[in-house]
Amino acid sequence: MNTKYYKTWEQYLAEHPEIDEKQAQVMKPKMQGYEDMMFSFIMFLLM
Amino acid sequence: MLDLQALTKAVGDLNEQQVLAMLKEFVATNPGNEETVAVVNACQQGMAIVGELFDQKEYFVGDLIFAGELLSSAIDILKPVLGGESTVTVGKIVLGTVEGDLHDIGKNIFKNMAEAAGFEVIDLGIDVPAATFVEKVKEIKPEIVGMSGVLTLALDSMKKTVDELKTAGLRDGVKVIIGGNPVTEEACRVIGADAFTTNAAEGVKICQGWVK
Amino acid sequence: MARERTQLFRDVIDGNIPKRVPVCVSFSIEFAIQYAGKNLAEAQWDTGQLEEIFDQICRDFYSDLLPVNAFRFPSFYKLLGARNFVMSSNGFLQHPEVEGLLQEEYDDFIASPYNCIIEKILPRLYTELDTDAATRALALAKAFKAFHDEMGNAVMIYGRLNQKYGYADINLFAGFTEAPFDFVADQLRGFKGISTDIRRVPDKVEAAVDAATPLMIKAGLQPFASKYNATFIPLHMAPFMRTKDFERFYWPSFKKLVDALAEAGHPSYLFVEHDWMRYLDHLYELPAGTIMRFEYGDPKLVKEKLGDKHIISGFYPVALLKTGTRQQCIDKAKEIIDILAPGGRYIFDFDKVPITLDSLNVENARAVLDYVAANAGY
Ligand code: B12
Repeated sequence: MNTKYYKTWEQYLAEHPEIDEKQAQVMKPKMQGYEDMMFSFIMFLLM
Repeated sequence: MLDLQALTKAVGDLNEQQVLAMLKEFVATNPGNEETVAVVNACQQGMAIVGELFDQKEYFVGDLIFAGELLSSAIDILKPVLGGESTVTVGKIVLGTVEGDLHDIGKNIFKNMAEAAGFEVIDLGIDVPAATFVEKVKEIKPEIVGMSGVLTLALDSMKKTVDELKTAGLRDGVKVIIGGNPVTEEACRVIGADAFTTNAAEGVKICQGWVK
Repeated sequence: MARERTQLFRDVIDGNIPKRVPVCVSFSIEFAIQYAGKNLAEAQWDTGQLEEIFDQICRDFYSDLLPVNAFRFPSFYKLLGARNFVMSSNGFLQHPEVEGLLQEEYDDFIASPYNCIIEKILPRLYTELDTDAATRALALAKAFKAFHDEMGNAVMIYGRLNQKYGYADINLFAGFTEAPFDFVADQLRGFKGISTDIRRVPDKVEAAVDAATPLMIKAGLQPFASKYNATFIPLHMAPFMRTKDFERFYWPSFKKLVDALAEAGHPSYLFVEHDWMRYLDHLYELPAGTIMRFEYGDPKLVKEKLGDKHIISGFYPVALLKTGTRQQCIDKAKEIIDILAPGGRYIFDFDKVPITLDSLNVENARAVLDYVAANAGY
């Protein structure tokens, strides 16, 4: 999306090499979920 | 001298670049008042064409809005030569979108056209309460009060405004004209206005008739 | 009950002839509050009252789908100091004309729409986000919490009402987005701004609309794909444009949006506002099974042109419910059903959402809905 205000999980992971694979699995749905919730909220504010 | 017919056509076509170029060139010749008035007339005829094309469904609301903007930039260019010593305002209009209504596109088009025709327009903006109309009429003593509205509920606010003008004893001193899509002859009668229109150019003509 | 009603909609969506024309009407939150005799401002703030309020609508007006659907609440708008949604003194949440994006900022928007939204547009439309960084962060946190509380409350209420009244288990509002051009027009440039821009800076408008498209697609995606859950898209600007302008600025990105949603498994539910009769051939091009609720136009022509591919809804004039006699109102329903029902792919609905209690005569509305429920069998 070419923005610093929204990160896909892959982008996030690339910036955080310290996260191990097992933990990444459980983190992903939550982290991505909140990222998407904020995106939806922001867009809703303009619709 | 500027080709008036070409100007009218360019306005009708909403060809902004051409209109502005023609007007700039015209203003640079330091024209007299009579000539300028002819040019303003040509612009207004162009707006009438826009209105016709709108009725024929060649143009749509978006084009009307742009036409309003175009006219206002045109008048801005002409202002220095319009506002010369010999031009007296032909009359004053207190204008506003009535209480509860926030739409002002139609009102602004009428305002631009009335100004171009030499009226001094005191624009009270949108969502204007009856009391503000009364206050301003008292203060400015215009010949004409113009009310605009596109919501159905605007008709009630218009009636309220006329009623309050009556109560304040100001109604007989002014002509009242209403405009906006929902106004009809029936509404005009109930509201107690003197004239109604859904066409800004026609509204200007009616106002001109009043101040003659 | 719920199963039968669900089947009505599934049949329509699957292209089968249902047992009867399904009824899907909805009333605005303002209508519901007035109908319940409550205070507009109070009930929109004290949303605990809403269940009882919505319940009265469900109780008194026939529908096969939940007939209420509110998603704008004053709390989060107020917390953010909104200028685009403001509650007026009479308790209506109004949308004044705003300009979230200045004409000279088009290039920023085109370069990165989302950056521009966060950095420029939101602070301009939401005064509490036009503050120092810390205040802004706190304001957003409060509003986000309020938003989720209000939506959570609403969803719980809808769930309980769905249970209680046995409404169909399909959701036409499972997602929400806008046509990219409408998005740029409505709150970024304003009606006036966009109408001028398409003449003064046409290339920028086109580029901005294209840049907005991926965001609008993302906004319209639902968590799970289902052909029985639609993304709602209300359409605004097209009828106010010349066809030529529509074809250049509005249609391509809108088509892309609906196609992309369909590809992801989400049908679109369009509210086709105002007069789209010039654009029926365009609408035909959308993915099969797009649900289109019409506000205006000639139902015959629409059925003829779109009826074999898409699902038609709307057209029933709310205005008649106010002025007509009971019999006239019922006759009108019959007339519209006779035109639109043959062959299926039709959902009964009004042309507009009734906004205020006085926009219709309640007895007429009830009579019409009961009539359709009882008589629109195949
Ligand atoms: C543009 C628009 C908006 C813009 C307004 C931008 C602005 N700055 O004005 C935005 C998006 C902000 C908007 C908001 C809303 N809108 Co609106 N809007 C319209 C729309 C599409 C066009 C109106 C318009 O500008 N027409 C063009 C102008 C040029 O026409 P006009 O006003 O009639 O003016 C001409 C003449 O009448 C005359 N004239 C006008 N005034 C005067 C005055 C005098 C003195 C004279 C002589 C002549 C004159 O001159 C003009 C040129 O000839 C109409 C739908 C439609 N197609 O009409 C809906 C419409 C008016 N809106 C409507 C509604 C409901 C709303 C909202 C309440 C929605 C909401 N839930 O928030 C809000 C308004 C809040 C409020 N309290 O006002 C409804 C009104 C329903 C009703 N019957 O009451 C309409 C009809 C849409 C619909 N089909 O439901 N809207």
